[in-house]
Amino acid sequence: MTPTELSLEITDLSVDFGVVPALRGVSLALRKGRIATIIGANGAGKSTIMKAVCGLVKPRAGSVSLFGKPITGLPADEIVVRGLSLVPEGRRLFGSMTVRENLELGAYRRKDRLRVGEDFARMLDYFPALRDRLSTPVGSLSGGQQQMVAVGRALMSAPRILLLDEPTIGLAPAVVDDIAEIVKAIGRSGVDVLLVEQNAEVALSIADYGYILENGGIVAEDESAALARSETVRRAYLGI
Amino acid sequence: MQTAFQIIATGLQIGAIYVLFSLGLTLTFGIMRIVNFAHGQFFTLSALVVAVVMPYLASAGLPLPAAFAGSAAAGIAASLLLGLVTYQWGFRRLQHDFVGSFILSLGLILLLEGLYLEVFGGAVRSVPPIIDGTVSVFGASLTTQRLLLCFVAMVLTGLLYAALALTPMGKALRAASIDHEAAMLQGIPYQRIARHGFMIATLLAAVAGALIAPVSVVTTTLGSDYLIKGFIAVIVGGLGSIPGAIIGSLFIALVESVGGYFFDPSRASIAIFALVMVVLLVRPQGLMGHG
Ligand SMILES: Nc1ncnc2c1ncn2[C@@H]1O[C@H](COP(=O)(O)OP(=O)(O)OP(=O)(O)O)[C@@H](O)[C@H]1O
Ligand SMILES: [Mg+2]
Repeated sequence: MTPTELSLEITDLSVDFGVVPALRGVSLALRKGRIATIIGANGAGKSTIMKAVCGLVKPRAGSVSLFGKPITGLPADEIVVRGLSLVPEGRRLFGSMTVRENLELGAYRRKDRLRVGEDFARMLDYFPALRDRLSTPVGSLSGGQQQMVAVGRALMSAPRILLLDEPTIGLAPAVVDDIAEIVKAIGRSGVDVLLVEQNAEVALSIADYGYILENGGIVAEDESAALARSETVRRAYLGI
Repeated sequence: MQTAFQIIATGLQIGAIYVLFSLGLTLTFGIMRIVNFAHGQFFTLSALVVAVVMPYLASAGLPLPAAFAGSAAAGIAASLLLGLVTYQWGFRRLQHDFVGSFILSLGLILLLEGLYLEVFGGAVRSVPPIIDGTVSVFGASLTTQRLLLCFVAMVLTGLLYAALALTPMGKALRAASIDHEAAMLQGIPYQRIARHGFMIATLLAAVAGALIAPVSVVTTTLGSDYLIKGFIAVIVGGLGSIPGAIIGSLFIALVESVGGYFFDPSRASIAIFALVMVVLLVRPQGLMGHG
């Protein structure tokens, strides 16, 4: 595969917390026009991958490149400007600020103000439920609506790559389906998506292909359909 | 009734300065999660420079208001420079490091008070009044000068409030105070925002110091008393909360003026500590603090 077909490439990434290794040489790639997922149990290191890619955690070794250019070691606020945005685990919204303020902060570094207005309108088309709540402090919304704000805020930076860290956790099944549809729609709109999930069933229904992460290392990678058929994945992650 | 107005008016006058002081403390805490106990030194330096430069300018023939404006500009500039130096070579490396910043700020207090004593001497200085006269409001009499001081403090507080609520930079600062990592994930340049926040806090202390110089005696330890009051005010109001700092400051000032009227100033201080304990027992996060 030529490098230009990869929008995000992670090579031999290792992260330690103190003396405890959290990632041991993880390599994975996000291909243009596709949705990828990382599936792993509690503490496998999924969020650590996300944080290392976004610049919130400094890796001990390895590299991350975005559209063929290295971004390893850049501060988080510079990586957003280069077209990568994360919906973090636990949403991390600015709770006392309004929905509108949260969404606008997503576009903080954009200079193309006209486009920001268009993207704001398009984002409300994805999430019509937010339309009436724009002046509400985000902390008083339901979990599902908060997740919508978190995704919407990330989209407001007009990313070419979107990372989502367990966006469906703790949500009611109907809301999980909504979020799943929206993630697929985002993928179709030309944004490459990397989705992290504990819920393998949801993840494999959204993504084109996936990686299985155990104890900080990738143990399997394949097309979603193949992973869903695999005996080990079914036993460990699908509870069958 | 007249007495009540007098007490409230006195409280507001003291409170206006406490507000400027504690806004800086709470801003620094919000954005960097540190308490800068050396915040009072910015205040002291500005007051000292005013106390030294103003008589000099006045004796050179400048009218008093112009001499004050000139010396205030010099005092504020000196404090800002000090703020920038302590930030670049100190606090910048200690963001979110409560213990480290505690040690640094205590060290700075000792160092700077020693330096001030060396440079400015131990003499108690006073600045000639800029404007004479008193104004009577609802039977309470206030010196024009103190009224002006209150007015400037209120305008500054209002400006800061509006800037935080309405400007993109203000919103970024609030976001970074809530969750600095999440703010960086939105592209907010945290390092730059933290420096701005620290310098705004320094500016507020410097202005407060320049304003206090003509209405109080200026010594090299002037800031310590204000630091204690300002710190209590932000604890009562809720560390990191802007409305909390304002309410806390006015609360402390009112207790002080009521206590000072009916008893004596030392009892007023005891009353403040007692009330702080009551507030913190009922609401450990402070009046306006979260969680
Ligand atoms: N800041 C930290 N300090 C120390 N250890 C950490 C830190 N963050 C994560 N870890 C450890 O690193 C390992 C991987 O954590 P990580 O959060 O990446 O897991 P995860 O796969 O995202 O789990 P979950 O599904 O619970 O979110 C865990 O053992 C965790 O305890
Ligand atoms: Mg996680």
